[in-house]
Amino acid sequence: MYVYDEHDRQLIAQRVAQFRRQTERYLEGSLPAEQFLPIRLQNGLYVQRLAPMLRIAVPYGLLNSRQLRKLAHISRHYDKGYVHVTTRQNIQFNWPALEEVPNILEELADVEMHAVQTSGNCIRNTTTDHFAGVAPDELIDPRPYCEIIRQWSTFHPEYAFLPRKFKIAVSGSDEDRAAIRFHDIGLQLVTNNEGEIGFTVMVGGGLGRTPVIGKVIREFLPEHDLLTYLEAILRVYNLRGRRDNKYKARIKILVNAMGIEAFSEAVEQTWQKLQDSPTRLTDKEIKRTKSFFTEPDYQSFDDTAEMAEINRLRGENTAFAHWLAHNVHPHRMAGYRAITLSLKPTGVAPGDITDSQLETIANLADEYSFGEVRTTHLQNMVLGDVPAHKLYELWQTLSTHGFATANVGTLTDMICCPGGDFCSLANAKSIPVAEAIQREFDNLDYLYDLGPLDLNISGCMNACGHHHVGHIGILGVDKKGEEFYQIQLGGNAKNNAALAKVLGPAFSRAEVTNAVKTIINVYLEQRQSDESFLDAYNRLGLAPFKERVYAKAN
Amino acid sequence: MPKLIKNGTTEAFHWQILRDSDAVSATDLNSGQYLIPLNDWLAAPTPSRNVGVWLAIDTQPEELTKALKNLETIAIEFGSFMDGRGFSLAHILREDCDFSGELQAAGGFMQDQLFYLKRCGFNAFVVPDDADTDSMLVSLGDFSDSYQAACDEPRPLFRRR
Repeated sequence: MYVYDEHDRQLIAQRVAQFRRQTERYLEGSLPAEQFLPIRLQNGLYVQRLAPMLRIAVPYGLLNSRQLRKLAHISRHYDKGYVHVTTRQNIQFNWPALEEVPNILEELADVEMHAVQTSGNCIRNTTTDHFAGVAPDELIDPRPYCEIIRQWSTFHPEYAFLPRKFKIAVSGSDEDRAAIRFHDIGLQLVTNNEGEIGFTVMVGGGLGRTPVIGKVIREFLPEHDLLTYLEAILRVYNLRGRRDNKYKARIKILVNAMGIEAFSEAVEQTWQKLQDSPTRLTDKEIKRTKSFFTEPDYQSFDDTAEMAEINRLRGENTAFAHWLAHNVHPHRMAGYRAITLSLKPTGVAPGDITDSQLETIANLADEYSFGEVRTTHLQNMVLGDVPAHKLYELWQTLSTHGFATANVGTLTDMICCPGGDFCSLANAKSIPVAEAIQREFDNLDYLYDLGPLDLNISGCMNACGHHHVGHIGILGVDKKGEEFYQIQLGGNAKNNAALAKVLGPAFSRAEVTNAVKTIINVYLEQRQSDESFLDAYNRLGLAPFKERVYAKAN
Repeated sequence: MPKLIKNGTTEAFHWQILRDSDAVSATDLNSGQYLIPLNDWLAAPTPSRNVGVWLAIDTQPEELTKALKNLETIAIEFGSFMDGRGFSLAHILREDCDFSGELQAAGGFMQDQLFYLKRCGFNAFVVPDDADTDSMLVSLGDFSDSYQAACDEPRPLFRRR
């Protein structure tokens, strides 16, 4: 994990001091509200429906136990004792007082954390695979490159007032677990025929009102050119992106309007002037950054021997077997596993976690996983390096603390935005819809029979709940002041990226769960052997689902 | 009269901005200090202490040419502080056009952008008469170092670490 030196510490300390002065000027009336708005947003502070919301950056989803304990402390002392894990792998506090935010940021700086650029029209937190560094299908660890991008984008003077927000994601594995095709820039680590490291660069992807799958702008960008090339894309976007309409201001609209060829030519022209500038990455810097992401002190294990007792217990204990099958993931080191802590038990808002749970996870990380934890864009947490022979005792502890719900990757492990209960942008509530569906599908055997299923819920078309890429997506809409829910099918956030298609007219909140049930029934009746929901949908198309859902509704 | 923050101090802003060609032809440019549209200056690009170029925020980057390096003064006029095009225009003037004279930020930028404006190559800031310039000078120095290269520091931090 990256460790601050005196430069990083000084920059973050000066940021806190800057925001403290700005908050004071705002509170005494010398900084107008319209000017304070972009300033507070770039420090993570929103004014929400009920109270301010503070979004803390978790760079590429990595946290250590000391940071978890600090988050617990802050949520207890400045907030209501719980936090929320977001789809950008960040952490949100929902009720801090505006005048206390500088103090919160100062506390965070103590543990090398901040809220820099977690909102606003600037470069946001770079996200990546939550199994980075441990996944067996990983070609190159993306985390050092995420850190290089973090430093380059932090307080970038030229790109703090872009036409709109800007999100970058990096993947280093075969399977895309970071939804890189749905980012303003998606970076896939690859090697060329000479074995040199580089990136396939995708641009102009995104969700929101106009969902678009990113287009390849460079098949192979050598790693040393990463920052100069990003710089070129951002300069073209900053100068040419639309600023007259915020709904048409994202880079995807510019790329579509210019066409990928013309856009790419404009980027190349700009890049010609930048490629040999001092921003070109050096071997020394890449090596320095990689030195923070070396292997932890793994023991040398024989996987079969380590798993022998676990496999015996698997046979004796069905609940444990289910957990092993769904919440435990392969690891590139023999005798180790990655574990997902489900933050989706029924009755808890997806991604919410209390102060004492944070402390429990900190202790578990220290005991089982070299003191580190990851947040996932699917709103769960991961212990990345758990010795396989400790899985049973860990499962017992997780069960006690409510993290062992064996639903990872199933329909009830849904992505869900805070929705109308918290967010002032929302058209409709999303948490009660998630809960109603979780209650309907509470039978685990039934859930497992449905197989892998992504169900994503957004409370408005801004799509924080990624509804466009859910196998089943639910979108809250407002119809004459009433909450309605549109259902979409067939989205896919992974390698074969696809946007979901709208099933038909929206449903009232009371009807949504039944509609989902009907969709599932059509799948169960029509699936061939072990065909997944998504595969069945891709074979059948929208029609059979549509026919049945609306036949019943009428 | 507006003020100009420059070299850590404040002085009166004596320049007049002429935003269209008609105003330029109706004015005796020797009668004071004038900032004129790019095309008017390009029509007769003579170096002058008293004539500079005014750039609107929607100036296209391809309009910025090396000829501009002969100027002593350029002003970029911001519309809203949310419109960040001026940051890139300034960068292009400094890095691509080799402009080394006085680059003024004018118009609707805000105090809390001063540090970033300075990094992008602005070295003079036009502010209202009643502005709290002491507070602004503090904002200009919000940070003592930066991660990335810019016009004030061509080497990114990773080359200096």
